[in-house]
Amino acid sequence: MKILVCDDRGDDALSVAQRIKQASSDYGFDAEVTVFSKKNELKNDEEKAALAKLEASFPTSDLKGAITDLFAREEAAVESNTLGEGAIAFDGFDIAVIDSNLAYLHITGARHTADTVAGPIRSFSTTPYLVSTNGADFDFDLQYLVGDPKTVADFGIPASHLGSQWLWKRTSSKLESFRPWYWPDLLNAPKRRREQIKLIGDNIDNSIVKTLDFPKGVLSSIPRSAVAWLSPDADDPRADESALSKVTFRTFFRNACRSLPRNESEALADSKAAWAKDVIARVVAAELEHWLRRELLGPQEVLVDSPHLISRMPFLLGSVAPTSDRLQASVESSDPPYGIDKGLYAAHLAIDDRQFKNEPWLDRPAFWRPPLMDSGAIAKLALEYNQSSDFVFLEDQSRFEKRNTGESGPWEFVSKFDSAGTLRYVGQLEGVRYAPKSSFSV
Amino acid sequence: MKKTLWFKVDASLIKELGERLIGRADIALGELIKNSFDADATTCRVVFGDDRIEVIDDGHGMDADSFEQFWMRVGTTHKLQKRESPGGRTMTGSKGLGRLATQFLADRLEITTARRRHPSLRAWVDWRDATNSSDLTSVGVKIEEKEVPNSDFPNNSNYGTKVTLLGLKQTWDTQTLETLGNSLWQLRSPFRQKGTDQEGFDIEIAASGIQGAEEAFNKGLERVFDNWRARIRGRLSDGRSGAKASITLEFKADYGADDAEEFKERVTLPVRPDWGEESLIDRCRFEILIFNLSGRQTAGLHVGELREYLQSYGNIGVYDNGFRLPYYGASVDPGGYDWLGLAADQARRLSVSELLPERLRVDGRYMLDLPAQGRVFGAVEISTQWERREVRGKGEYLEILSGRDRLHDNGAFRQLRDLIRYATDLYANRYRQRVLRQSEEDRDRESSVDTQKRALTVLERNKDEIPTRVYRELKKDVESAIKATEAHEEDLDRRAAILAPLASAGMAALALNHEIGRETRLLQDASARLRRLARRIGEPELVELADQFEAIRGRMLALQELFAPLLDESDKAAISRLKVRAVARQTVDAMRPVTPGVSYSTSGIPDDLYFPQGSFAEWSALIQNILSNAWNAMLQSETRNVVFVGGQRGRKSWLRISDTGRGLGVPLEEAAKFFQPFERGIELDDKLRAAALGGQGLGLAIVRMIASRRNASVRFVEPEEGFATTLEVGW
Repeated sequence: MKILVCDDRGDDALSVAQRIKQASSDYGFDAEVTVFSKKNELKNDEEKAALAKLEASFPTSDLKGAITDLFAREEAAVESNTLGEGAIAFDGFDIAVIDSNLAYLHITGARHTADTVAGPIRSFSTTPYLVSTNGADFDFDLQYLVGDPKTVADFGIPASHLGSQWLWKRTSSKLESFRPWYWPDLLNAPKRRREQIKLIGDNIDNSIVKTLDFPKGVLSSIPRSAVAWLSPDADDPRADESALSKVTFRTFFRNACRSLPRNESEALADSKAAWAKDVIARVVAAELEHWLRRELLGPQEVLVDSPHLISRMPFLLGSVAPTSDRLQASVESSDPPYGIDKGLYAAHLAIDDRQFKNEPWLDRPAFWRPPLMDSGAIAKLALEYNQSSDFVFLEDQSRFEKRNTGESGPWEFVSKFDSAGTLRYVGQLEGVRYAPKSSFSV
Repeated sequence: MKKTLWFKVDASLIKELGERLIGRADIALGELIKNSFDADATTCRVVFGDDRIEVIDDGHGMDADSFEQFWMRVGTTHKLQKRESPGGRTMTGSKGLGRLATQFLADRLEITTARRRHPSLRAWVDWRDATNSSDLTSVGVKIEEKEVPNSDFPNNSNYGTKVTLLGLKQTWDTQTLETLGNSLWQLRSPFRQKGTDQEGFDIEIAASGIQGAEEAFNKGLERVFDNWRARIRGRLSDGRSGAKASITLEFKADYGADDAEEFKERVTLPVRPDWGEESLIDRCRFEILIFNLSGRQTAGLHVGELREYLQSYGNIGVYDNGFRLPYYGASVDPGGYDWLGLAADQARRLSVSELLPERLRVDGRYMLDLPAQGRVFGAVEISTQWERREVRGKGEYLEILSGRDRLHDNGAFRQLRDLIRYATDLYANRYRQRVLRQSEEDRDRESSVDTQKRALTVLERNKDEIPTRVYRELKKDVESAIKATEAHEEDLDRRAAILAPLASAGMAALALNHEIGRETRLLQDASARLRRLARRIGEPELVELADQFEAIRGRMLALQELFAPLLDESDKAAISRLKVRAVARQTVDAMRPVTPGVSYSTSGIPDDLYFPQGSFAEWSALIQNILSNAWNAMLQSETRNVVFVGGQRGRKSWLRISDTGRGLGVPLEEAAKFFQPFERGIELDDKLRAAALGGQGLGLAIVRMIASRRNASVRFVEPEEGFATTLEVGW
């Protein structure tokens, strides 16, 4: 896997690169790390020494030059409808890890951050997956359960977690206690993204929800905030479900994309150039995955993943009493029936309209919840279930734990999703920063 | 046998038409000037000579055909049908009545006209013949084709038209010429002459009696544009398709308030539903300059000159296709002079606009700031031609009356009037808001002592009108109030001197907190490398060192938690009622690293006890300060316990926080003083001072400040059993 680390400070860039390299050797995955950092206009000996150290360990290029070329490509694309010849420095990686503060680069104009460059990198380079680091002062996002909720990158975390096994190799990582359920599976993310881009490229003027095979019955269950994210027009209170069905990948790019300024997305949406289609597909793939993660799966209302499904419907484990091991299978297992009773899975979940066809969109199995809630058979199972389950799912540790009313947790919190059933739990580990604190008190 | 009979129109009707429809010399002459404009002239020169007036232009002229087809035909509507002149100007005339009006000025008319690639043409009309004839068809216009000298047309043009009026019906002396000049100079919109969209059409008047008058008029106009204090600009485009009108309001600095300011507002037509449900106007724009007729003006203009100029040429006019409709804004007719009802509303002391929406409400009777006509200079530009086409034969539109001086008083006109009034009312509203804000700011700037000293000055000034005894008593009271206030302000200054550096330190702490994040990452790297090294060379001491690094990192991370609520927008927002127990638990966790060895218990707080509405940052700060205070009190105690107990009875709720410190040291009834700023209850010796938190005497003052802001109270109560001090927060 080719990983690019972008950090204007040489010592920080080295630290991040080393952390990733160490993770690759510790957890057995291949990582070829390249660094873009500040190489020119170094002010003092400290900066020069940090660069020398960095260059001795990793192939290093100038970040300012790379960003300048990137912006030139963006300008040519928008102003002159041309992409320019050849590759740019940001092309050809699988993942780019970008520090949130790029102020030391002294690029003329507004101060640059990961978010000011993430959109252009996504749009105008072939690097599919972007991680921003240190944009938020916390480790666990209680608000939207996505990481740094403000980032334009695919995922935002503190750089200190880049060495975590859970980020790279989910299986057999029981040694770590901090294992946020919402973290993505980074190792497989670039491959999935490329598949998404291809799918969108082949369907650019087709309906998003039809291409992604949304069952018709779930459209009315999608909250308005989620609809608005996809298209401001479809959010019109007078619009019916068909308005949502009409949103195509291209119209989403034109009207609701967050990676590029509106005037740019409008210009590119109208471009007939072949490369413009690639730009649209890359941007929409990233933003659509984010939409699915945050708006549909995050609240666990429209889509629900296996641990949350089991938490809410413990009867899907069968007639035996739930134990932490049995529940944990819903977290660890990546194959059907995902810890669910085989017979019940076959009868109630392995059905076209109930299973989200997750490849290549989500890195975990998920189910459409509205048809489950409407099912008479499921309601009957719930009524007949006579076991009690005191377990809650800890979002910060991806494991089940007995509910406790004392002073030692698990602690309930309320996320910002505008739906019912927003109560979630964390174990609150020492040394881990959770934000916002008010989520525990609402 | 059938035969056709024809109506015969009496020729005196021409006179009737001309004089009745266009009954003013300036309007009649204006119509001829409009003809020049429609002919794409760049200059129209009006020359007053001996018993003659010449109107000469350098437009494209007429040939024999067009003269006969259009000029000779009264009531022709070709200008209505034709949208633009060959040069691209929107045509101004409408029914060809202008030429009839000339008989109002003179008995005879001579026309010389030259058109490209056509022989020049000369024509004569004697209106006296016309009116003496029995019917219209017998009015003769003599016509001949003849070469015309180039110099006849302005700018040495080879083409153009010269209309000469001979046998004038009135004597043109200096006064009447001046009046006419004023009217003609104002014929074009001043904003078109001065603004960005100049059309290159000059009206020159040559008359021996008023030499220099035009120059004076133009100079005055320049100064008007230099001296405005507020400017309203508005534009409506596609109004009939439902587009909103936009209004921009600019205030110059030092007018109403210190700063220059700009407001933007959008309004849907009709402004009020009285005149229909949809906009009856498609296009319009306006610009209104407002002046301050007191104080110094710029460019050396004397305020008297400005006042005089505005009195002559001010007010808000209406321009149809760039030509003024003489009725509006002119002092000839009171209805036209106050066509917007500004004077009427001032007279009835209207205090609140009938047009502005509720959201623009400001304190005070802002409509009294409505500008009088004498201090405004403005133009409302419309195009009746355009509106007529846009309405497509259905419904009301801005329609010019045959008299050529005003619009039909229909729904469209009323909508226009409302729109302009909305803008003027908005000006009054925003002006008052600026004044109020400025006076608030000035009041803030003025110290209480200064205010009181001003009162003393007023008292001195009016000394003779007050009985001596009353004066003395008042003076004594005011003087002692000044002394007391001076002492109070000194005290405030002293506090501010400490508060400002403390607040700065707080902000620096937040920045430092962010930097700690970076340091902890480097510590994490260092300890990981140490561990790897320890494994490789088998050195257990390195593992211990790595553990120490990790422990330091853990403490640094925990310290960051103290600031966390101030860094998160949700934690700073007071949008809901928060659970007391959860807030207490989070705050205690954050305080643990700075209060080592303290045993905390929050289990005495019921899970369903909620604080009043407030932010997490506020309640967390309140508890942090109470705990810091408790920590300082417990520094010399052997046992360090803090217990939280919460409760509710009826509608009263409370949270009690007890500690095992040294106690208040004063009777309970005197303990309230500890909530005063800079009151310190605990004097610590030097050894302990290093371990204390805060110690500025501000902690409990902050507790009281937060509590009272959130409708809660704080007080010390009888300590709970086993504890030295108990503080109660009640709500």
